[in-house]
Amino acid sequence: MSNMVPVQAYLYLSVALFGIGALGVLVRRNAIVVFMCIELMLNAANLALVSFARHQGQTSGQIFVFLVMAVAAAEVAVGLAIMIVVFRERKAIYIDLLREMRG
Amino acid sequence: MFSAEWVAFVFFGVMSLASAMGVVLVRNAVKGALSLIVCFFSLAALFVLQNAELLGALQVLVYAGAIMVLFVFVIMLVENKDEDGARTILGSRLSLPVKLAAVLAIAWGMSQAIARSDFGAPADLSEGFGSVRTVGLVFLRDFVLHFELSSLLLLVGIVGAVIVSKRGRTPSDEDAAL
Repeated sequence: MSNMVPVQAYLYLSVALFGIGALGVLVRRNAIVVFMCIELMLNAANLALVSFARHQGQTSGQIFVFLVMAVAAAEVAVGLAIMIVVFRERKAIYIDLLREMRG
Repeated sequence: MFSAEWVAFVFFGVMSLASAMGVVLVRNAVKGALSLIVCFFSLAALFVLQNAELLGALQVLVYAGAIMVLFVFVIMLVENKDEDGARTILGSRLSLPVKLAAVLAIAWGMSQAIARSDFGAPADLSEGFGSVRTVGLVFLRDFVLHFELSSLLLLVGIVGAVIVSKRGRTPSDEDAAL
């Protein structure tokens, strides 16, 4: 058995983290907690990208992780601003109270 | 028998999984945010373990630092007064076991995809793989357009955040601020 941790181990960990995040998005009622779970899913994807970059010896995978971080930062800034506005209107940020945008 | 890399992988892997479970299971949003910070730190360690030193540092600075501070600020600002009495679980047409089964099915599918793929042997890493110098050179030479676009995206994000958070204010709030 090789002493190096194989790429599969990191990918299974990434799947587990993604699953936990997805469960949180589906189950929790507080919109901020849902948002944090989305961040968790993004980070699980980042872990997979870093593992593939390491496995292939390609730096471009790490560049992609950097871009995901930039997108996440912009998303958090706008998303939390929206939540503050929603809180000012409704005095609560539970997602089942926000039904206007239902299809 | 087990190398230091395995020990570190198991340690930080278990820590990230446990703190991720904490985010989903803990009632209090502030404690959830602190748990998520632990998760981001252990992910940063896993990045460093895979020769991505720059990304590990960025993970601590950007995620555990900037983004989570923003989260904690907003949680404190937006604190739900009836936190203790309120339901934490979303009531919807799909019941909890159905959601759990759906997530497990997705995770099982992805695990099957990993188990059946042949990834081959890991590549030999070039000198300085993942260092600031190597990543920076690739970034500003081959991906310079992506670099500029990400800076534009961040600028739009900042401006958008300011505009959105100002819109909900009534004129009396503006007077009070002045």
